Parts: sequence; C-alpha cells; structure tokens
Amino acid sequence: MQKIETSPANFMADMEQFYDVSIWHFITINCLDTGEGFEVQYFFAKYDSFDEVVCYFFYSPYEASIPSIAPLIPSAYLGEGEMVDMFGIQIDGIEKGMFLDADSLQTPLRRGS
Amino acid sequence: MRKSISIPLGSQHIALLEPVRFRFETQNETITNVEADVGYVHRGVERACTSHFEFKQVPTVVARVCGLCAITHSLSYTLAVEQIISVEISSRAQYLRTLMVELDRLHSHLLCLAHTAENAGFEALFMQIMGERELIMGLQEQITGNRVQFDFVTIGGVNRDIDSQIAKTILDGLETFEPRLEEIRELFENNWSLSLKYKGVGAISKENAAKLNALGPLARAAGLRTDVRAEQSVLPYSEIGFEMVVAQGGDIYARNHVRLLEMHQSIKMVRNILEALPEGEILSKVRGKPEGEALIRLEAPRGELFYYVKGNKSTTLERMRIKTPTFSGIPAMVEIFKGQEYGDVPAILASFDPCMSCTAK
Repeated sequence: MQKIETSPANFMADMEQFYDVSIWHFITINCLDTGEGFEVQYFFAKYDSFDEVVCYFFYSPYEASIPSIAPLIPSAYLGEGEMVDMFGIQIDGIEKGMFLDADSLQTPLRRGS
Repeated sequence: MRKSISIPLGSQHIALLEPVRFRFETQNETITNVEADVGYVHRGVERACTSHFEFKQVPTVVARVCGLCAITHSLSYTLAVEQIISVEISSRAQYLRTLMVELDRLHSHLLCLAHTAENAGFEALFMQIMGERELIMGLQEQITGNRVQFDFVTIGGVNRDIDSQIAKTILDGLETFEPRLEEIRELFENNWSLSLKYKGVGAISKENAAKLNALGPLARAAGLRTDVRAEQSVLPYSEIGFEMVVAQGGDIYARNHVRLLEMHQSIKMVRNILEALPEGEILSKVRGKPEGEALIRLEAPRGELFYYVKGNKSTTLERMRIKTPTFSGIPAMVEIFKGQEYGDVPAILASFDPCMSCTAK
C-alpha cells in the first residue's frame, strides 16, 4: 500500500488531480482517533493491476469540518455517513443518523465513548 | 396527469427478508426516485473487536458478521493481521483456505439463484436449488465441522486438515453437482419466465457501474473487469486456473449468467486445488503481537471485501475497519431502480443478492 499524506485544505484539489474513474476503484473511507484528532484515510485500488492500493490521508482536529468527497465520488456518501456516526467527525453536507439511531450509543469508535 | 405515489419496501418485507428499507417514489408504475435506509441493526462488531476481544479471538467474531461468507470474513481479517505479526503461512494452509472460499461462493451463488427462481414463481426450482446448496454445505461440513459460520481459518493457518477420504468426498460431490448445475444453467438461460424476460430489466451501464463503484457480479455483468481474485497475490489464484467472468448488458439476466459461469469456475478451481494440494503443516506458530497497519481485499461472493487493521503491540487491536460488498453496492442499486417498473422490484432486488447482515456489521 502506498500512503500519500495531504491536508484538509488540499484534499479536494489532490483528489481532482488523482482520481480517474476509469483507472481507480474507490474502496472506502476510514477514520482513526489519534487522541488529538482524526486521521482520515481514503483507499483506492487500480483496475487490472496486481496489489496496487493507494491511501490518501490527512489529519484533522476533532472540531474541524472536513470536505465531502461525494461531489467527486458519488458512492462515497455512505462511507462518510458511517464515519460521521461512528466517530462524530464533521463532514460537509453529511448528516448524523445514517447508521445509528438517536437512542444508540453515540460515536462508539471515538476514544472514551 | 400521472399519479405520484410513495411506496415503502421494508424494513420487513416478503421480497426482502433483511432489515433494510427502500422508499420508492413512483409515477404510475415507474420508479422516479429511491431512498435506502440501511441503519436498522448495527451490531458494533468493529467496536467489539477493538475493545472486548483479543486479536487472536477476532477471526471467530468476524465469522459471525455474515452466515453466507463467513470464511471470507475470517480469512480477510486473518490475512491482514498476518502481515503485521510476521508469520509464515504454509502453502497447504493457503490452498485449503482458497478451497473453502470457492465452496462458499458456490453455495452463496446458489442461494441467490434460488431466490430469483422463487421470485419468478418457480417454487419447485427454488426447492431444487436449495437442495443442491445443501450438498455443497455438506461438503463444507466435512472439511470444517460446520455447515455455516465455520471457525476454520485461524491466525497462522487453518484449524483442520483434510485427508484423502475427504478429498474424494468433495470430488464425488462435485461430480454429482456439476450436471445438475448444467440443468439449472439451461433453465436460467433459456426459460422465458425465469430469465429471458429479465433481459434489459434492472440494467446498469459499464460507465455507471464504474462511477458508482459497483462490485462483484453486479459490476462484471455490466462489462467492468474487476475481480479481486485477479488483483491480489495473497491467495494462490494464479496457480489454480482462475479466469475472470465478464458479461455484457448489466441486467438481471447478465448478473445471473455471471454467477452461473462463476460456479463452473469455482468447481474447476476446487478440483485443481485438490489435485495440486501441497504437503506440509496446516498451522504455523504465532509469536508476538500486531504492530503497524495492514489492509486486505478479497473477492467475497458479492464482491470486494475489505479489512483494515491497526495494532500497537497490545493484545487488542487499535482499529479494525470492515467494508463489505453490499455496503459498496447500495449506490449502484439505488441508481438501477430509477426508471424501472415497480413490479420488477423483487426480481431486481434478488439479482443484487444483497447481504444486510454484512452491511449492518
């Protein structure tokens, strides 16, 4: 796996340059609670290639809102909704409640929850 | 003036025995918009595996994510962890793991075809296909001791070996099954009510399949060449004669056609595995604790299954992420419904072969 670091500010521009729908298959979005904020990861696999996976990632403070990749990759909204519910990360245009009900344990994958 | 109606389907519905709800907006009988709600029974598996269970116990837990592709779940997790604890896996163990993945694909595809037959009103065929599926599950029981939710794969290898008697039972079983599969294929390819009337129904183009990241038979039926078995080197697919099945049309007929051809492929690969099964140990000693991060992609019956693990040298993982094929397929499913007749919804749904148990992990 090749990991490429970016920043919330540069992320969408990097994605517009990188993502070609005929070359890359978007696998999913992942999030990690680092104790100081989130590490947000986006995984891509190359069609018709062998073991070629690229991970774009950036760090974001807990309270910051990050851009949604859904305008570029429409199917990403589900993965983003999952991260919003599981970690409490704020993603532009993505609302809470896609996976967890209001009476569920909230942000279950966040440290200390 | 056309009449607009909003029709809910699920979360409990006779055509969809799993907890997901679709809301269809229709004009007369034509679907104009769809909303999917998948958040009914979130089970907290990721949290459990990073808080309550030690990393060596996790294969048993994730095998319960899904009753249909239990092997693929426990194997994906195991392969990911094995990358960050440096354990050498014997070729025999990898071959046996692959054997089980392909048998899993056989019984899972049979279940999908059975549901398609049931939806088309072919109840006797439904029973017949479920009977054939029982044969495959019996073979899996011979190997693992269980019909479903096998605890066969473990970190370092597999828990049970097979002897020549079991190998013969598998080969005999496939010998019995193959001509019956041919009969089923004949029906699915030539019967009007069962398949030909579904040509052009529930279709997705290759471009839309790529744009919406469709996976598995759903994508390959639309002509998109994507199959993790051809894109990874962890399991010995290049040694056992794997060939990707791709079709055109992207409709219900094409999806079932892909599954039927893939079942012939799986039979061929199982035979090749048994013929070339290497000698050796089935379980390697595991030392140390996972440190670092790793990911794995495997081709489950419904498409790409993704596991990410991160360990910090403790007995409990820091993070585990599961992305299941049905989860990824939902945007494509929603797109496919638009413009279709509401009466075709059960058949289209069955052709997706959705697994909400996987999705609500």
